[in-house]
Amino acid sequence: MSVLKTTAVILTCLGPITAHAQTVLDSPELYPGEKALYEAATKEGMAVSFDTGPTWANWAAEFAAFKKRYPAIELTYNDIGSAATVLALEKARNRPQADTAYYFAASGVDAAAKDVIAPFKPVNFDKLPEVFRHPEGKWFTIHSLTIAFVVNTRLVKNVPQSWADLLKPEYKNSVVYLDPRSTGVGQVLTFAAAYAHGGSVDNVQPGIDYLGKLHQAGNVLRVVGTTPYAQFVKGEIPVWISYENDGLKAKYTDGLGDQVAVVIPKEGSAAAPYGISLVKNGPNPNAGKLWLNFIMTDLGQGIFAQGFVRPAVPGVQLSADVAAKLPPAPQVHPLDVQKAAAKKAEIDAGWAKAAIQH
Amino acid sequence: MRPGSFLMMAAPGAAVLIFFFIVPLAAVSADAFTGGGSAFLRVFQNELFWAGLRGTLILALTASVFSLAIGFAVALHLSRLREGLRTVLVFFIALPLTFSGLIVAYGFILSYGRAGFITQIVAFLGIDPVDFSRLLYSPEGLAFASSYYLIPRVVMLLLPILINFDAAQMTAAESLGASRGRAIVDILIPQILPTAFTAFCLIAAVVIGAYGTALALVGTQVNILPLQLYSMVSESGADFPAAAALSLLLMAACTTVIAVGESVAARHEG
Repeated sequence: MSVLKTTAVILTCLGPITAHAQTVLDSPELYPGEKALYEAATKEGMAVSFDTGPTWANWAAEFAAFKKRYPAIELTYNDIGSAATVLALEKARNRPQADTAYYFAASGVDAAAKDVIAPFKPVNFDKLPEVFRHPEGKWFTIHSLTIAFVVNTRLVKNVPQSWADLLKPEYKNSVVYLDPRSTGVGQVLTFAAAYAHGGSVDNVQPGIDYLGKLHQAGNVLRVVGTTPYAQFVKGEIPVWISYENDGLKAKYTDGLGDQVAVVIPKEGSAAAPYGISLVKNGPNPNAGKLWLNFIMTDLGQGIFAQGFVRPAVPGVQLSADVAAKLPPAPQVHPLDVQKAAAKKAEIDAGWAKAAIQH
Repeated sequence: MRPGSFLMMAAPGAAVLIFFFIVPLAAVSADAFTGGGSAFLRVFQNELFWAGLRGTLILALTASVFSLAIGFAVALHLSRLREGLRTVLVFFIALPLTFSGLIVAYGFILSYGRAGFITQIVAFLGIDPVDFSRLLYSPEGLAFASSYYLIPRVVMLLLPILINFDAAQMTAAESLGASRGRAIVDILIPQILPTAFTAFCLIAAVVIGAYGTALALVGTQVNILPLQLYSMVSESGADFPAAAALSLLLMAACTTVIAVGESVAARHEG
């Protein structure tokens, strides 16, 4: 029985959480060499995973499934943010503390430039779109997050379907989004707005112009520096430009149901790659590889989908109810972070000019 | 006291100062001065810095003046109460000092936000909840929320002076024909002015450096220095030397304001 089939079988009899995953020793291998790698990792006994906050992107479920399959390995993690992760790796260059580092993929590009991460090609690496991986595997995308309008249907009469809709007077003082200078989401939504207005990853100005227009129209309620998820759930925010999974989490996990509409704007949007790396000279290299491989198997990728996060590996089998919540969105462009990173200074300066109170 | 025992007494405080202030400060300074001060140049050349400095000073001035006025009135009232009642009230007034800025911001959102309960109540009276909650999320709202934990500081500083104030002086002035207000302006105010000024400087320094409340409440489109610093070091920020330079400038501003306050107080005590 092939790996894919096994996974499909596992996935079809899946409950809400991967309750049926067995330990590696009493089930078929997910990929060739899994058992041998597990044995080597057992000698190390732990893996240190940087920046995988349990409430973010369904990491809690990934941890649980990993622990179930590899009982001899302790996973420890922290949640410090992408830029801080790169900084931590740099500061600890001589005695690395971390085995793996997870971040917005642009930080992966930074980390590769600073030479603090090691090349490693996990299972399914070759299936990834080219803009979603470093050629030698110094970083690779494990899931993407798509920019969408997360709408509180109690506070707005009509759910906006497009970027053009958001400029209408009926959305005065309604829109909240994250600061493009300081957050990954903010940068990605600027590119999303650029793609929707004839721009691209090489031409972000239309996106900056659009956000400027939104401010001039008086439709921006606030620009925030940290994710206002709790405020949204409390009913403080009519329209929040954010990632699709924030909206789906509010809708299905936090029980807001029909009070929330999640709309991928129809003119176009962008999907941000979130990547992970093996740390150079990390203390537990085998356990680190075991963890990275697990995340990239169809099983690990499927767990992301259950947390409403789109898997990076194409063609992963999803159960019908999960697939229904993540409908195909052809207007979404995968973001090339290498090129996007080159535009950071332009976004910082341009956005500040367009939006900040001088 | 023998020199040896003096050293013993000073050691714990000195250790805290060294490990939690001097050492981190040295590390940040090292970052800030990489490239021979070019980081400072980058900060100064950024037009947002000057606008942010202005915004910070306006916010500090507004919040401090407001808090000082309210704090003075509260302290004056407390100084005339019975001891037991006063202790109970002071305990409650001091509570906000123990909260973090983020929690204060969240408390205000739960009360005055778009879905806050006070907003809901005024909505019954026909006030538009959208407009009402906008006030909270504005720079004025930030000054208002900040006063929540500034006022107790003012009260704590002014209360001892007001309790020890000899009321007979006021009585004397009034028996000589001065009005109540006149007596306050000519006799009470001059005596508490140095302390009031110290209190003013202390809370101004707190506002200049505070970022938690601002971050949670107004959002980063409001241009004040702590938020600017935040946007330089968060998720996608990359210019750490410039951020370190800005943090030193911010600390220098706070230290200067406190030093001015302390030197005024010291002159009056001497």
